Amino acid sequence: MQLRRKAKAFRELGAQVVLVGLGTPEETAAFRKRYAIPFPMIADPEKALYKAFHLKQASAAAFLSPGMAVKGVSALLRGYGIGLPTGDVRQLPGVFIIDTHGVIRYRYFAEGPADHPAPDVLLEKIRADLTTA
Amino acid sequence: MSRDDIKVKDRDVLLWDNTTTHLSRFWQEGPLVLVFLRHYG
Repeated sequence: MQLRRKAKAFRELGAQVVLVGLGTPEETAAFRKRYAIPFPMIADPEKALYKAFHLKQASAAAFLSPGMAVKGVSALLRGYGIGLPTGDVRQLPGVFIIDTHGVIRYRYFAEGPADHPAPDVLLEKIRADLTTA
Repeated sequence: MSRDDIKVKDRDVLLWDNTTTHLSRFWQEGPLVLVFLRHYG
């Protein structure tokens, strides 16, 4: 996970990274432990938070795209293995930056399952907001 | 604040350790990067 490698940079900016997953607390805790995730995690098996933030679902075409196959092979080669997925496999990810007033300052709605912003993009956005605040 | 800015409605959220907290807790001290994942697996 790219975010994990940038955890210190987020901390230095005073930013809190929180992950939201589709599993139960037990499944989320297992995932967090397995990948040594250094961030708090929200368990959202009913997708209440996903719905509140209007996150999309993948089309069948995106889900079966060559890009996803490449990602799967890449994960295998890095030793992540393949397990049965937990949660809605069509749910697309997304990222939001929320300021200390609870206002969304940045939003990213993934267009496909493998689509996500680079951590440096998020860090730069936070720096820019802190500069103009 | 621009017209595009949207304030997040606070709500209770369930954490990985089976505790519950307010989502707003995470943006009290600094910006929150809220990352929605795909499925586990």
